[in-house]
Amino acid sequence: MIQFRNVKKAFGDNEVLKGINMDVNKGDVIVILGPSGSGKTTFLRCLCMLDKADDGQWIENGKTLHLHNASRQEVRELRQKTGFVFQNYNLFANKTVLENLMIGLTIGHKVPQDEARSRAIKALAQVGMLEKAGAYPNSLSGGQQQRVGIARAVVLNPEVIFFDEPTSALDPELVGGVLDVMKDLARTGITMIVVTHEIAFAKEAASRVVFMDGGVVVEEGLPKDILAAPKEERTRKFLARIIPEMATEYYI
Amino acid sequence: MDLDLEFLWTNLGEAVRGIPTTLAIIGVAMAIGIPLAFFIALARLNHIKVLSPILTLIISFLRGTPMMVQIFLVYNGMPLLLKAVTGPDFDVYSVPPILYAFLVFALNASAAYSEMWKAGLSSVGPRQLEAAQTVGLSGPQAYWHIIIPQAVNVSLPSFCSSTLTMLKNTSLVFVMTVMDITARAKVAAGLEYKYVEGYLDMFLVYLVVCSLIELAFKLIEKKMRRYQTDSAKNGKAGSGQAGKVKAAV
Amino acid sequence: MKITDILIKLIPFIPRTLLMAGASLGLGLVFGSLLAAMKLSRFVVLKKIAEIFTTFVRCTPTMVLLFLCYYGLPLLFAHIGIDISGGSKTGFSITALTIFASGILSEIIRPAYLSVPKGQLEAAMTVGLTKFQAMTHIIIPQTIFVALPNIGNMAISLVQESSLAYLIGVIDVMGQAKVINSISSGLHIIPIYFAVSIICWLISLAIGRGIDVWTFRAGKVLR
Repeated sequence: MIQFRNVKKAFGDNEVLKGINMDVNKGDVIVILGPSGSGKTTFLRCLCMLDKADDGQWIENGKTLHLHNASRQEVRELRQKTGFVFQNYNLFANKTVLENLMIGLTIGHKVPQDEARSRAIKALAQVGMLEKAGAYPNSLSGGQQQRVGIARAVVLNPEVIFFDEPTSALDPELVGGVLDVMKDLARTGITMIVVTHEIAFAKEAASRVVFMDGGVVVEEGLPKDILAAPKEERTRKFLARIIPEMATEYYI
Repeated sequence: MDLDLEFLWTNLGEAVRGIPTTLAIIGVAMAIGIPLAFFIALARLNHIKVLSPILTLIISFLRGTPMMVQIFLVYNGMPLLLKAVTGPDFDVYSVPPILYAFLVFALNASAAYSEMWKAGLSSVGPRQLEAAQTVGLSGPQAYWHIIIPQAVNVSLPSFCSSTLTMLKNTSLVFVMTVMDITARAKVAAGLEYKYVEGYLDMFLVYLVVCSLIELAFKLIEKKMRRYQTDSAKNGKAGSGQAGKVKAAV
Repeated sequence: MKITDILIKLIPFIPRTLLMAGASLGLGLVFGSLLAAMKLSRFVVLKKIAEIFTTFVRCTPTMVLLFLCYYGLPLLFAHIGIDISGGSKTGFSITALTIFASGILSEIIRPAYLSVPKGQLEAAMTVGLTKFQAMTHIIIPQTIFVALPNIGNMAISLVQESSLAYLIGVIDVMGQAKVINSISSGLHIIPIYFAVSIICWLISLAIGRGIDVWTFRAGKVLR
């Protein structure tokens, strides 16, 4: 089990994260919902050390990592056990799909070439992109690129994969394909923390839903509880905007 | 440093006296070159038969050969040409060499600026022209009021660097005995064998003139920013991926 | 003297021209990258030094740089006791051209580097690459691709600027042309310089074509 404690981050005067706490068990699929500016993406990026948090701890196996002054070695260890899927895929433009997956293994994790290749092929098959192994990202559609992005995170065998609005930049008809891949992934038992607006995914695949607003966790719980009958007013308001049916379910 | 600082100072005055000549060459080159380049760019963009490939060839030659060689060719070749054209009574030596300088630099400016116009005009796009015509502007009016201002806005930075390059190239006209900054500083320094001082003076004068020209361009750029369109703001394509990134939270 | 005769006499000197252009391009890329890195660094001092250097170099005619190197550097080094006045003239010319090239290249490399999306670096870090590994495998190749056309222009410029080396006595294509000219008492000056211009033009065209091909092939991958 991983515990995130008191994660804080301010950009200048703007306090984006005001102290987030979260517990994550192995195999959890946590979906984080919230309006723009609530700090969801910043939270993920701080956990991955893409942005430097002002405060916060990552507690695991009795060891505490302080996010705001982690040593280079600690950062490297953290990177070794996490994967990240970006909103705009960020595939390495000058590498083929296969190379995109292998480069982290061979150079970053010092995995031998053959093992890296077989793991990469397996991950590509898992997301259904095996026949594009030799293609370059600029010949792929957005959905295809994102699937490769997911494979790139999966192939690292991380403890937890962070997803930052993975389908927000996609054309609507491509969203479903990526969500299916993510649902399959959830079924395999990988620990996932997903920031998304896709409520259907939360309903079908999440083990827990967290609602964030204004830099704090407002409410969290099981999908069926939060999505059907939220306790907090803010949660209700937010959900009403994106699930039309919610607006009529006030007084059940 | 065993430099003769006093000479450095006095020779500076001599070098400065060459500034008008240098500026004259650039001025004429720009006055002829900018309009000429515009039409050259139009011809090439519209792929006008016969003219376009010839122009492309000439421009390629002008940009692919050293300035020094072009200067020598004009300086030695033009008198022969003039003589052939005007007959044996014409005294070619009466032609002031600065005219040759004007010729070479006007040609070069046209070549360099035509590339610039090409980039600027193609970035504005045919839709602006169509829109202008639908509101009743004639072709030339559309270009003058709508297209050209936008094209200029886009190409100002490369306009600036082309002009600075041209300014630096004028230093070569001393071989034609044109008394510009370089020639004056060189001659005076050569008389007393104080070469380093002479070249330092040149360096200082060119530095100041260049900086002033750069400043002038920055001011013009600022003024023109009011007319900036989206295409100008985004500039050339260069940043890679998905254009649909929404602001991350 | 026919032009073909002149061309035959000049061809053996093409390597020297190419040597000057090539060496200064290579060294210019090294120092230009260094300057670009300085301009992008957090240390204001480094930034300012790099910016001032670039301004000086961009505002100085190449000929002035050449002579300042040829006459000035020996003076400078004499002060610290090193005598380089006997140094090769080609070496001085390469020094001057390198200074010229690094100033301009730094302003080519810097925007090219900035145009590579920040996400590429972030993604590289999330898969476990160190910053150095990310730069070498992902960022720098993409920077080179963006900068390639302008680097090609620089190469062409260097070929032409190198023709000024004759002024300090370097015998490259231009230098030899001057020699032939004085031997033939200036009677064939037009064909001689025409021949020089043909040679330089062809070299420029070849470089341009090479860059086009390279950009096209790399472009299939990256854009």
